[in-house]
Amino acid sequence: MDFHKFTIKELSRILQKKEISSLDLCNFFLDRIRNIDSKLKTCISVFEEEAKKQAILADKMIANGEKGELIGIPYLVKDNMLVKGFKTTAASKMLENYIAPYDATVIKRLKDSGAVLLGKTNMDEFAHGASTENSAFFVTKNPWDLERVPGGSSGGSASAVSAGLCVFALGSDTGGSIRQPASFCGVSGLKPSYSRVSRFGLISMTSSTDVIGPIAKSVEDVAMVMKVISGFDENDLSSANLDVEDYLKNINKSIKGLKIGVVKEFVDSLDEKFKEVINQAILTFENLGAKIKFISLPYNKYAGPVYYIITPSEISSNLARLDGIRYGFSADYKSKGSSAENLNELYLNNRGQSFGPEVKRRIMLGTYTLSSGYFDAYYKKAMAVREKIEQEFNDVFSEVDVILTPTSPHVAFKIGEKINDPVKMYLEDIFVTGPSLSGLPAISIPAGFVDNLPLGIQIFANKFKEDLVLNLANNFQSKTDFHKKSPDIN
Amino acid sequence: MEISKNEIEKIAFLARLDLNEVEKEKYQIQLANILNFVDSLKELDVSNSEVLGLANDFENQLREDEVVDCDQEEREIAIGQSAEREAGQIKVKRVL
Repeated sequence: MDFHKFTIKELSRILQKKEISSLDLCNFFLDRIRNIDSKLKTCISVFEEEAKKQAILADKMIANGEKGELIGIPYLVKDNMLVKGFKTTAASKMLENYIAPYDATVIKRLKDSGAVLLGKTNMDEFAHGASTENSAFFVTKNPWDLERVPGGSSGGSASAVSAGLCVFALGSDTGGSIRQPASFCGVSGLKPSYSRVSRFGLISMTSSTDVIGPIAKSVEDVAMVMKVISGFDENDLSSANLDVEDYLKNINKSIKGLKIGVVKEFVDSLDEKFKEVINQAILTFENLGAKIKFISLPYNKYAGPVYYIITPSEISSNLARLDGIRYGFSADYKSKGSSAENLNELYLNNRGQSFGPEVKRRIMLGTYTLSSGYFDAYYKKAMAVREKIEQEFNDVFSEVDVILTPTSPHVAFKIGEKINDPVKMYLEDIFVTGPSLSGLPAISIPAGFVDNLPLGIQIFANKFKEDLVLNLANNFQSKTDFHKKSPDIN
Repeated sequence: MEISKNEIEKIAFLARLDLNEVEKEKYQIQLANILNFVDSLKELDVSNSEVLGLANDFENQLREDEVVDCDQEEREIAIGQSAEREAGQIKVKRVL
């Protein structure tokens, strides 16, 4: 059976009917990882024994008559989320041997729901990047074309879901890191509203925009995972103390009469082939009864520059804790005894020798923009413009229910194509940073193919309107089959 | 926008990053390029806006000041990864 092409919904039905055991399903995916992952390099670690133990527990839950969509479903998680007793590396030499002392809240919730964790996926080091080429360990490949990047920073998670190495995966999104790889790999990925999903146990990057979200084969699957991981957590100060909707309840509702805003200048900026994909998507939504309204977001062109001031600033502060003293890379302490003369020298060595080029670049940039004499010109200015961008979205949402944009201006690019030009890489985020800076829920779903490579569209709404985003996206998938296509990799 | 080598060295020290000469030269160029990229913000006049940031979005979450026992296994993993330990404490280099 092609279990790797099945959705959570389909597998859950088979598991509940006891047509297959969770342990057999777990072994099926472990075999697949063993056989295929040497080509794709999606996983940093695989927990064979632990996964089997969890699968046996899931089988007991099923035998006891417990219900729940995720019982016995195998998944992978980006390696910046803590799993107790296992390595959490953030794809950095700094944390290469770091063992997590506790479970992230999302991991705990998924464990309680009966999902089976197979391992941890590759990413750009500390989630800094848009191609997964910044991993300190290896480059992950796109399953649609092994010479291309899977996107990033959650590239390992998106590639693994697309290739059927797991049923769903968790990613994190700070400025597009779930949506852009979802677009490049032809899968569905949701960046929830800021503060909707607990970040306790997520390695911080940009605390004012970081979120955890699901990557899966369908919008319905995304909703099933969201149901489990969303909601208030007293361990996360920023966690929203709001009721969580049943994301499946309204997912099939008609979208007749809903107003979709299409950003004119975004579509105009695209090459013809990509424009065609967006126009087809617009037509699909019109056929479903939605009303299209062309809108303009003049402040949004500043989202990239704002993002690349605020993000490095927060990174320089968040990554200051990584000094190799309490944990992490230690340059000369252990092996050669105490060769550093003083504490400063120790910091300099531990950090200088273990951080990769993009991490250093962002820390340097952030230190600069926060430093005396530049703070007002850069950081404070960026924060003021950020509020303008947010206000602009607020205004637009009084006229339309959701906004539709391309996820990325193009399909997956070649490995090595942009790695030496940071500004080019930063321009990857052009359509996705706006919703991040404003904390809005945004999904990327497959909307077509250009030159045999998948391309996604992004749908986003006002804060905490995940149900609306999922409803629109699910209606789109009821009329299209782009999300059902999978790469030929065995 | 240009950044001098001196400035790069100053920032690198503030950030506690030991950089070699090749890195210094590379970041001198790349940081200047990135700052040019973000320079479009200069077109905007936001001098009248008051920046609140996320200050209004959160409330402090308070709890009773009680001693809660720490899970011993968790504690051991957490402090067992330090470079040097002495008597259950993490040992660091002299500060001055």
